[in-house]
Amino acid sequence: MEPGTTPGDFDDESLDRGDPDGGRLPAALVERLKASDRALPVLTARVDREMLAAAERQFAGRRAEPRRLPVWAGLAAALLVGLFVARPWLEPVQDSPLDGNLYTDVDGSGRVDIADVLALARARGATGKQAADLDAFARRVVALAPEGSS
Amino acid sequence: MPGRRGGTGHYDRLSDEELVRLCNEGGRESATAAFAALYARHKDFVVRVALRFVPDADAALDVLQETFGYLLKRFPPPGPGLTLSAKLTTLLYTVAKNTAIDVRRRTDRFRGADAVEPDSLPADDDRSAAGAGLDLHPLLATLSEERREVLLLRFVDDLSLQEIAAALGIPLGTVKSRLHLAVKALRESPEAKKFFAP
Repeated sequence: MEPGTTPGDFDDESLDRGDPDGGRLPAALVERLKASDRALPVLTARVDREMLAAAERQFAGRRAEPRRLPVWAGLAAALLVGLFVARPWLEPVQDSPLDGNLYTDVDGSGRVDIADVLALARARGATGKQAADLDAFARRVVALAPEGSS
Repeated sequence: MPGRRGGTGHYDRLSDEELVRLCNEGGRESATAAFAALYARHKDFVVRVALRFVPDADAALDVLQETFGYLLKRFPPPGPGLTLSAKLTTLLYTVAKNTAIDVRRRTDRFRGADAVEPDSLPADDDRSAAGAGLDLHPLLATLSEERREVLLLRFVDDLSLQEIAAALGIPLGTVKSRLHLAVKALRESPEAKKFFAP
């Protein structure tokens, strides 16, 4: 305890109740104190650089940390993998060359022949896999021809 | 600074305790970034404390560098690691104050370098000019260094009474009595009387 004080001068209540003698200062005086204490600006750029360089040197021997992808990159990668896995279910279903509906009398001539193959090709603008299907259709028609009515 | 994973904002949001833990245990980049965040957060406080004991900005910069240099060496390697038993500011205050007194002796800019006057305040021309019109240093100089120290820690640095006791290594009751006497002295001084309600 400092000389010249009594216990009652600085008990907790006395220090906290806003009584200036108890340990509080008027706000204006506190502001002046703070302003006065910060009156001398100090440029720390040189020390800033040196301290950061010292930290880098000191911690240089520690293990390197693996770089983490940003969250958005992880989500994008997961989405791509999901699309790849789900691809067989997302593609449009195409008629199989063995589908009975394909080998029909397309031009309404009363019989299934090569003209139906060509009519179907025109109707579908056949390319790629569809063209292969139509080739199979054509081969089937040709193969059936000897047994047909023509 | 380079290699600050997650940007400066990530580390700025961490508490002192979390940053100290990263400095103790983190990898190369996170430890460096955590120390940089601690430095950025507390350097103004250390400079402010230093200027209470040293005469000019150059000496304050020496105190700043030595204080954080001391802190850095506490982290492994080669340090043993830092365990916070109180707020980091209480440790920084103790280190900055002792370093400042040491720097003040070394620079020999005060009268009697071997016998630092406890009641003397730095009062160089720079400080007086910068604080013209609002300088309370003459008023503070009327207080003993011990009472002035407690007063500034409480009202300028906003430390609690318990934190001041930890920073100075003195009992809480002594902090209260010094604060009480400092406020009483201000209240009775002609210069500060106008700030108190009649």
